[in-house]
Amino acid sequence: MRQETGQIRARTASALASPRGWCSTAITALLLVASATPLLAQQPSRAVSGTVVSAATLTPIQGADVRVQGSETGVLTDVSGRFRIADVGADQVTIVVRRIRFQPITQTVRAGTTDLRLAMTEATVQLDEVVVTGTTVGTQQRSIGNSVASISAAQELERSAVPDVGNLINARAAGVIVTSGSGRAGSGTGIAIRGRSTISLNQQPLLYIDGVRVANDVATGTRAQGGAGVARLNDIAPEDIESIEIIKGPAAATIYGTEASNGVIQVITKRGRASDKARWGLSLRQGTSWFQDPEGRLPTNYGKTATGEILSWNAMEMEKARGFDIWKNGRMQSYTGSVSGGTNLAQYYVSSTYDTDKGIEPNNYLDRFSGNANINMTPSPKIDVNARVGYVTGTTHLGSDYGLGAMAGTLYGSPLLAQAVPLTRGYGFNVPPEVVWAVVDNSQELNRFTGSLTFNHRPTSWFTQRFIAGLDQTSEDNQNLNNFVPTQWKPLFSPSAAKGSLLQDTRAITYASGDYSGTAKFNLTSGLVSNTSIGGQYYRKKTRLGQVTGREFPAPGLKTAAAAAIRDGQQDFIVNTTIGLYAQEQLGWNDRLFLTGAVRVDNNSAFGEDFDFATYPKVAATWVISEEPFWKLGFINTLKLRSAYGVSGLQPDVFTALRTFQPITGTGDQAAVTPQLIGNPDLKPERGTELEVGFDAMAFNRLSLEFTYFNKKTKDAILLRPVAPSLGFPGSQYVNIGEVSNHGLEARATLQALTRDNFSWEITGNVGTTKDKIENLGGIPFISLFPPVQRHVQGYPIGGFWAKRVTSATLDANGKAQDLQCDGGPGAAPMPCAAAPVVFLGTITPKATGAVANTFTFWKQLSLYALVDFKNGNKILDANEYARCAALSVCEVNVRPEKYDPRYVANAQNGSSLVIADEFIHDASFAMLREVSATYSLPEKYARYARATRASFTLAGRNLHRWTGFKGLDPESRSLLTTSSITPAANPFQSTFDQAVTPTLAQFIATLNLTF
Amino acid sequence: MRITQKWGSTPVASRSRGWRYAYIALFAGTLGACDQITSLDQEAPSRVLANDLYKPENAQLLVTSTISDFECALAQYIVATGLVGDELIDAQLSQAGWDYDRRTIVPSLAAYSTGLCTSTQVPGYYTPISIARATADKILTALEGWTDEEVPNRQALIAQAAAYAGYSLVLLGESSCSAALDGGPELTPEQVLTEAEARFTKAIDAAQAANNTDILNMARVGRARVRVDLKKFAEAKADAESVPLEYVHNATYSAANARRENLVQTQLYRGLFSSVDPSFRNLTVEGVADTRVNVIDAGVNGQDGQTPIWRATKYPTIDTPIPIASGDEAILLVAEADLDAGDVTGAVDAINALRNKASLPTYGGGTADEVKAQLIEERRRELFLEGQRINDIIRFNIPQSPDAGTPFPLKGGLYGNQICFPLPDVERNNNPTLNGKSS
Repeated sequence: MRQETGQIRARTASALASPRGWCSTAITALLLVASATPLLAQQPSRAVSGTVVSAATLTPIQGADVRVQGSETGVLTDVSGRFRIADVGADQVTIVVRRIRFQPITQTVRAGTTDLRLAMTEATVQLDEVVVTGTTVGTQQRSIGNSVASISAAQELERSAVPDVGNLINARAAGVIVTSGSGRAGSGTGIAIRGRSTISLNQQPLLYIDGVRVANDVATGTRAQGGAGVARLNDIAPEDIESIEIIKGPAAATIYGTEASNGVIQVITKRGRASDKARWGLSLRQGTSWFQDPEGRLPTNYGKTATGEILSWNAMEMEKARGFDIWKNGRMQSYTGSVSGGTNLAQYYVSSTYDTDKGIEPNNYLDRFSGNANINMTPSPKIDVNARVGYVTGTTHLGSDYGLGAMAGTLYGSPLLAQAVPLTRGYGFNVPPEVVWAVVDNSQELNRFTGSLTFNHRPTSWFTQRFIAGLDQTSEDNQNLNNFVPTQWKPLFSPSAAKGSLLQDTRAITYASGDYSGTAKFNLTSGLVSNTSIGGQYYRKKTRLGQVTGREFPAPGLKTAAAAAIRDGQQDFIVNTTIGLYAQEQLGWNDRLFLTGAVRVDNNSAFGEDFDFATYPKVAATWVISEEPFWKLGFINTLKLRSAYGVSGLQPDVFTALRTFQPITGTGDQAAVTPQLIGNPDLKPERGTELEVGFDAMAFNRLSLEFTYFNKKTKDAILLRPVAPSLGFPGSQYVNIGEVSNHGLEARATLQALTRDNFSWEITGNVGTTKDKIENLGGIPFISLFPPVQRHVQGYPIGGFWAKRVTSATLDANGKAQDLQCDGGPGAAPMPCAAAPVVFLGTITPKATGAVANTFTFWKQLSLYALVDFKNGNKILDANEYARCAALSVCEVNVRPEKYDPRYVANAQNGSSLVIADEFIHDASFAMLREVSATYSLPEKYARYARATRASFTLAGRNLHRWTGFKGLDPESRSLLTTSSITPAANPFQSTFDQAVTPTLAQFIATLNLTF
Repeated sequence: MRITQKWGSTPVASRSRGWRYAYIALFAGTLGACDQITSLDQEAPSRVLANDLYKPENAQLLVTSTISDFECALAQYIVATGLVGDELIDAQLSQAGWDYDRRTIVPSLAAYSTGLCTSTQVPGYYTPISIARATADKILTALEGWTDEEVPNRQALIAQAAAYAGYSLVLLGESSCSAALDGGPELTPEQVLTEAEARFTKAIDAAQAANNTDILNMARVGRARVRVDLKKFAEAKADAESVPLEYVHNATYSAANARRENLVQTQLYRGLFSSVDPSFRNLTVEGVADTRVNVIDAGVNGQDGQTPIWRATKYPTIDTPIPIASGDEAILLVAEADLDAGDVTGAVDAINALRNKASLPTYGGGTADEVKAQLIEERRRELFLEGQRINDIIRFNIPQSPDAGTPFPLKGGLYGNQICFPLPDVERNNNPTLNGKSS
């Protein structure tokens, strides 16, 4: 989607505009080729050739404009970053290289140089860069009033060795909070842009691939014991992505309409470019993952016998003595092949990736194959067509966590259980790890096709129109298979459970979309330019659901419901339709001052029948003040001031407006109905209003800086207000009575700290803050969540932690906590805990997130890179500590209370209902050495030994060290709730507790990239 | 030939017009087809919209539905109150269920407040009963507004709806510390039971009008039960005496799906989530095994791997019905009324009527207090796992065992002293009348 510099674009356009232009270009090229041969034979070559690479990642830069200074002679680099200028016209010349997103470089070279290596450094402030904003054509950064985060995926992938798109986004965009679920192979992430602004609805942003809306569900999979951890975002192979652009909020996303309040992620896939021959690429990745220091992180458990003897139990020590390691090293493998090329009329990029990963437990592994083809055609100068098809298939076996896994067994074991039921060896919930692995298989088989067809039509010089048709077809087969239990383990299961069971949830999502937009450009006066855009979108999402359960297999080896003695099933489908129209007017004055206004109107089938349509306005302004004649601050090379105000929406869930009854099997097995949803005929979308102001600047030609302040308000916030059961309906009612505010700062900087011929040092950093607050809860005192220590309370952050906080206690002679005094609330003195209120203990959303990366490049061949990211200010319920100490009583505090602070003892002895629980809610701030890598790009002469034009090798480490005060297992892991039977929970990342979840794993990954 | 000439002589413009019409027709057809897919009407192929449901032609369906809601709620109720009371003990791994048996229910606890009828492991309580009560009251109101012409057999349907509404109110009134109806104020158990009495009266009137003996007896037992709870013993006796000893009205269950299962059976036989409390094992009457409380050692441990499972053979299969109202219960109610009136002999006779029916040794009687104690004992055996025991524990102030403060075996925590179910937060905070406030 990116365009080249103005010159290149103009030249290409003029060539395309005239058949004679093509012809003459071709003839000239032929003449040059024809004349070159005798010239070479007669005198020393005055050709210059070489490679242009990214200084930070050493990855080739395609499409860079390489030319001799002061001359028209120039070429574009190919997919390998290679170029060759046949005759530079002098014995020594200065070469100038330009590329969008990079700082231009110049270098003096002698004619005849054939191994020139030019390294470009990335610039964050590029006013002529074109980004995707939803209108017909991309928009130049200089005219956009809001911040758009852009990630150069291809380059970041190589040096970071990230396994998936979620991790590719993590730490690379200010204010984009990526939350991991677990460290299991195949588990995904959740993304919150600019924190939380919705109380009850899904906070995930919209996802577009090449302009086509696609499914972006998180926490898909089976709902059994940690089986729901797969994110649809990660279906996209990172190797196929050229770049990712993130539009952050309502101010920017207005014309995306009624579902865009959480922001938009645009994935732009790689495309082919015209080249003299096909370029082949091969990427091989091998890696390993491991659970760092389990002995130091997993606690010892205790129990007191009837005679008063205190016993201890530590799974790691016990298994070590048996010569058994619970967790093995995982293995990651990835193989990607691609070919690209084409002519001026048609270009192609075709790739395929095969991933096969093994987790640290035997029942966690995945195999995935994906294919991607991108074809561009220019059948006439006025029309170009892009067709893309992507397909991914594979199966992810997630294993199990929470209450039925090796982690749960290890954390919740007991010496008393080991004595009472030796077969359990003391493992919590009676299940030793090898039994879980033999019995439980949580899997998701995926088949997903994504296709798009884009027509760009330029019927006149002033009008451009575009139509995109898209189809995203996702088919999931989610299975929780509990195998027939081997004979020796049967005593640990009930007779029925020992025979095994299957729970299968199938989900097929068809996302069809049509998107038309047209833009007319007029020069109103010599300096005033008008861009008028109109457009309309149609989205239809149909989800087919099936559920089959089977219990009690008659024999081992059976895995289907058909083979089960007791069977049950149901089937359903859900359709949701959106139709929207927008109009936008942008006025530009001397290419320096821009004013944009837009309005969008939407209707959606999920709106209540008494609500008609939603209207969203937007205004934005930018001023490239550094290009004004009066600008005198020479050290500030570029300064763009920007401001945007816009409104966007977030639609309610399907059916939530309707009062419905569910068909059931009734008395005497007759057909009957039962209340299902109470509904709300007035239900309308949430309305997110956002103001953002900021600037983009470049100083000293080496420091790029972006700064943004945003202030967002969500009105008509939809609250999932539980229904008073006495009204005769279960569950909750969606009501538009809330209001949320959210504001923060974002900054991103890149500093070329040192630039020498053979050494460069680049520092990049980003930071984002967010502070959300429920301004209005519609008169509801509070809304409880799960876990019950989380609440929505007016005047406090969304889903904050609330519990009684013990301020003092004493221990009696038996170690029982007594005289419990608790925080009496704001302004009140401590009071007896029985009468004390629950008090606010902290927010679930990080107050600040960010990252700092350093890149050192030596001899333009070797790059050393390290990235540290951090999250700060959020809290988490350490459900492991709660479960061990307050619910299961296997902590040392339960048997030796005298060793502990009486307040902690009070929590352990009285916290089983999670009302007195302040000691289990901890600060989850951390900083993580997320990525460290060394990339060596082989000199071409060595690459040629492998018949390659380019070869690079990267050794990367991920998640190698964490700095944190958090005492639990992992401040990042989350138990993802799946509240619904066969559809993912609306907001699974809102529940913030860690219960026996596989922590973030450390990884080493080696990658070899070859281009032929 | 003429036609050929006409075609052959057709000017280009006219031919274009023909194609234009074809394009217009195609476009119109496409629009028509588009209308199919661009419709913003929300399809609901698996849901029944409320606007389509409450119509006279659906009266029978709605009554069937509310009975279904009650039957499911009753099974959930028996397990929940059996655990809080002394009939069952917990044997499951899910911590969410331990608070019942541990008697540590707090108003924020999800399981008892919002647990649904589909729960097979951790039983629900407040929501299933409230839904059953509300759906019964709603169809009752609708039936009273419709005419006999609109709804065939309307009086019988009114009797059924009122009787089931009454029983939902009985369950709520007998076990809750307080409750609310239809988003109204917080009611004491006595107020809830008074509502139940009114429903039963309505059911009796309608059943008599419809000449429906089954529902008439069901409502009489229900009203007698609630009148005993309200200490209206003489009126209770009048109702109970008119019910034949052999009468029984059951809640039906089946293996069709989890919601239709007899949850007591599921808990004790398949899921092994609960076990019969030791106080109900090996019961005898003067050395003779008490067949009313036949409890066997299953020889297996529960889901928690440690609690031995003892099963009640009263519900041997997943589709075994559970009595809602019976002549046996009526006799016991008569006995209680007799005791209140000082008629100890009458009470002893009633006890013996049931013993004779069960082929057990005759009870010899004693002082009024002794007979009352024996009556309580007879009630816990006769009405074992029928959802009656929790009420007896509350109204007779039967000591809890183990004592509060005793460690909860195997799973941690201490036994509490919970006995009635508190009004859950979900009701207090979202009920438009209560709005988060205590009464």
